[in-house]
Amino acid sequence: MRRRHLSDRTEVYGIAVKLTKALKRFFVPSFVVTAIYFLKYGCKVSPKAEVDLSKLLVIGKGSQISSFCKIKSTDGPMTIGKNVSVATGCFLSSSTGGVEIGDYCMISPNVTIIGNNYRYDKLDVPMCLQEQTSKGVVIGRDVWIGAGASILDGARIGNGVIITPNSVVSANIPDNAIVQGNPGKVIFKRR
Amino acid sequence: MSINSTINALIADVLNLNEDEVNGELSPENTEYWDSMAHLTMVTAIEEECDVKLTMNDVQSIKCVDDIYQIVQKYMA
Repeated sequence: MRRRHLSDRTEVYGIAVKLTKALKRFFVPSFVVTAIYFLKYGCKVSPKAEVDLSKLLVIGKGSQISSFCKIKSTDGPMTIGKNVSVATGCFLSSSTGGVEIGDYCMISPNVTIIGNNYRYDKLDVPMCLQEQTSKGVVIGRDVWIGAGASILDGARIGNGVIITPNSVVSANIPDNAIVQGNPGKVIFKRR
Repeated sequence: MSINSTINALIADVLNLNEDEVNGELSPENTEYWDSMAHLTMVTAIEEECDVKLTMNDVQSIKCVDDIYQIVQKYMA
């Protein structure tokens, strides 16, 4: 078996980043995270939610993050607007591409927003070891996302959109559309 | 009558019915698949096929297939 050499500087840096991430996740109690975000941004983060303590996470005033949500934002910017409500059990992950959520959005239970993608062009390398790509996710203002919907990398959702429960969205959605299905298709326009 | 039969075909397609099962009294109460989503899909299909544009009030006032006939004829006239 080949020994791993730590000579590469970037590798050392990567390990340090991972270590600080792990230390923050293990040793900062959740009520401290809640207090920090309340004092810093005026938003309500549940002490039962797992929210990363990171400068890259910006949450607008009056937003609520409910219990059992997981927000991963150490790799890239995550911007959540004002008065956004994120219901229980959501998973929001901003990879390097970043996630942007506009004001007054409603995010229902068990919604998944993922900002990264794995490459799969090498058959002999396991997919988890292949390169990651990240185009980012942009969600407009006043968007209502139904329970269990998945928003995948590269999605650009306009203002005033409704996404019906269990839809899968990874494309451009125009303003005021109602989207249903996998892949998400526009079935109606709000007027 | 040709407009009505076009509408019938579209409704049958959206609601998974045979075309001869669609009549004026068909409504959300007596069909299985007519939910709020099918309602919107139906309206979009009819708008595209008949080249009309319904207002939100029209969409909400539709209670049965007869209402659709009347609204479409109002805009076609």
